[in-house]
Amino acid sequence: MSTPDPTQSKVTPPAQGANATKSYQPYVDAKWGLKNHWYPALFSHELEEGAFGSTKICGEPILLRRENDQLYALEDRCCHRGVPLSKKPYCFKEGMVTCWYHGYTYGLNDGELKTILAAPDDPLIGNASIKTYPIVEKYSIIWVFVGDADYAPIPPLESDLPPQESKDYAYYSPNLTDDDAIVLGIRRKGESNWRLAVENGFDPGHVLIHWKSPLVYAHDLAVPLGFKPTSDEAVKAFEDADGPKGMMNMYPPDADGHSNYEPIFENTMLDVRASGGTPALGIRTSMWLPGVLKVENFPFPGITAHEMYVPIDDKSYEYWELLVKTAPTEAEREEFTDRYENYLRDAVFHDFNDDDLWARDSMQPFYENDVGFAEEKLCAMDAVIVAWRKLVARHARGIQTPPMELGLKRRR
Amino acid sequence: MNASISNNRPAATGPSSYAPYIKARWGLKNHWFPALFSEELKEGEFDATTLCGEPILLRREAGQVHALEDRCCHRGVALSKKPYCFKEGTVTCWYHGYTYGLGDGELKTIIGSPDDPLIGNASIKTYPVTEAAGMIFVFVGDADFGEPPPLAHDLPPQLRAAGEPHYCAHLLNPKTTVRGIRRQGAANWRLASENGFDPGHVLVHQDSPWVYAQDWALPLGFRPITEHATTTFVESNAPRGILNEYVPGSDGVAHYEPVMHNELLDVSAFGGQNVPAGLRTSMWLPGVLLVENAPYPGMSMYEMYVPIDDQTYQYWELIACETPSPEDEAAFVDKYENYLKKAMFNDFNDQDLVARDAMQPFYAQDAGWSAEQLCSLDAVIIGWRKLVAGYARGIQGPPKERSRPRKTRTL
Repeated sequence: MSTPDPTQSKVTPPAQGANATKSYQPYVDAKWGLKNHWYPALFSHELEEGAFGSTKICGEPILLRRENDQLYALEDRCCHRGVPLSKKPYCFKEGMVTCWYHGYTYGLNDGELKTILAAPDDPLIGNASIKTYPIVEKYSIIWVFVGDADYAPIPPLESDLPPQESKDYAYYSPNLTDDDAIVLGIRRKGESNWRLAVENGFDPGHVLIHWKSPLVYAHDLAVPLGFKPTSDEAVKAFEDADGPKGMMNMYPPDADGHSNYEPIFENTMLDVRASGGTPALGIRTSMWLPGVLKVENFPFPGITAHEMYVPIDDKSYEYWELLVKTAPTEAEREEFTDRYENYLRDAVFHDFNDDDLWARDSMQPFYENDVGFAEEKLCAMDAVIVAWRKLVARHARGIQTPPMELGLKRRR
Repeated sequence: MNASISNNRPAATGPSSYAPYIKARWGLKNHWFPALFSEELKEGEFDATTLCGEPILLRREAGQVHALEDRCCHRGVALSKKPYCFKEGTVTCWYHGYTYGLGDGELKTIIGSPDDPLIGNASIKTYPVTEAAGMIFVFVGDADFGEPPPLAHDLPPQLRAAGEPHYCAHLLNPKTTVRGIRRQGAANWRLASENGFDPGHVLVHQDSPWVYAQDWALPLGFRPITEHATTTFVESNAPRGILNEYVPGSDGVAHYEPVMHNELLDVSAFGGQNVPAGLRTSMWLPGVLLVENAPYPGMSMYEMYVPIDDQTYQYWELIACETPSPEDEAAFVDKYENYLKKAMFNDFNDQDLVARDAMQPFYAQDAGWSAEQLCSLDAVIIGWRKLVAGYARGIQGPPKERSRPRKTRTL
């Protein structure tokens, strides 16, 4: 593997200043997330038969219900006085949910007002409703499609997830959607805008924060100071009409040995050297709309780390961290589960990923009022970030609007 | 029973029919509001509160209570942070020694600048104060409003005369003992008020320990069935309010139907045999609830929802009982301290606090007022909004827009 001369780099450095954002304005507007996409709501095991759950996605409060093995997702806001149904959801009759405040009762299926407990003849009945959401359960996760009520057709979930790699690929690493994959993970809240979380996830320059991670010491991982793009092939875009839309950092060298990224192990001026000794083979990061990260062969070859950054509101996101492994037999599933519960969950999600959480939260004040998008000074390592912003601007199915402008117009 | 339910929905119900109410985010002005319980402000003490966005300093000196703007005219700091009294009848700011008269709010001296030309040419606002029923009331309004109306016009009246059926205690009656608490709620004052007399909200109390203890028959809701389900009081020089006629009139005609069953859901009302006799709710300007014959026949409950700012209110909860003799008073106070305080204010009213807070996000940016889907149970709520729109003495503006007229300094 030859080290290219940085001065020969064909990579265009990111534009600076107020005009820089013009090439991806919809991204700057996407404070509340992207709409008409699938988002994870809960892990399957979090919603048992007969239970209610709730979450907030892109500013929309959502009530979840499992009844007779069927899943339902509805607006978690009574149309009467706007209170969350989930505070104390009543089910007096199968297929319905009743508000704890004044007894407005909705059909789980259509969100229509079926009765009012103490006003069963009210003319409003049949003439008011709350929003319902398409919902599917796959890969151990419950997913909700957040978007316009009249959006059609609803695209398949897989168009909002990373695609499977060819099994012939030298560094093949499993995908969430693989048939015999086992998916284990956690979710928690991060205190920053979802875009900052996403951008940190596949940022070739951010590896410095993991420099002193226990995981790096435990496995003597070679973590460079950063990855510098050395050709325009460093970033590959996926833009097939019906497929997932994403960007991939081509960290591993091509089949012909040509490399597109240079891992920087030393800075001579500062006399700083990267830690670790064992080169990690086949690590590759890619980011997919509406904000799904795939890290192939991480933390070890044959394991994939997925992350999802789901907007809760404009300043917080639900951080989903998953580890995926191919485990066709029960014994393999048990073995991986054991290793996950006793080691990987803490070592990867906490010891390692906590560094990322901290970094994202730290960016928030600068970008809070969108000032940061015009003031930031991007460098050569950020080429993929600008490319991601443009990709989102081109392919998002819609930009979510702030809640008070959202679905508060009711059908009468 | 009566199928003409839709007739009870007022013709014009949209927000445009009560526009001033929608603007009243920061409260109503030129009304009396409770500031503190009398016992909270002892002789020689200072205290502070915020009413309708206005910070207010309170001082009891020689038995007299004074209320002033709790904001020094110099750099705007709160005097109450560390109020100094160096001379009777004055208060001195802890920051630069600006010193005001308690009676008129005028700048009397500046500690380090006793010859300053500003002295006598600057002032802070003062407020009319009165004490009644164990509470200190402050009149919050325009400086040039003139003589404030009597406090009694901003409290519920005695609705039933002594000797009438369902007569119950009134808080201004000298024979009455009043006990209560105050605490903060995290909702706009209007949401708190509307919950207070809402005929559909009783569902939140179905599992209250109080309902079990008293074996109350608690309906699913009260549905208005005649045009006379609510009565409004709009006479001038008298309290303005709206009353839910839960109790049938002397002619035996019922105006509300307690709904005990919903067929579609096959749900029946909770609770037992005892129908609380003579219980009625009414709401009065500037936001005072009266529940007659609660918690027991003969007693009255009052609640006040006093705007602190546009998203919090001071929640006052009171129980009034007629206690002609000292023994009566001792027995009531004993029952209040050992039972009623927790049973009513916590076990029961906590459920209302939760409900009001839960509405706040929907109405926080005023989107809720046009997006809400009211039903026939809400006729009285529309009635209340129109009453406020038509009869409030004024609508309080946001703090930034309120003029803070200062005397001009002339050199």
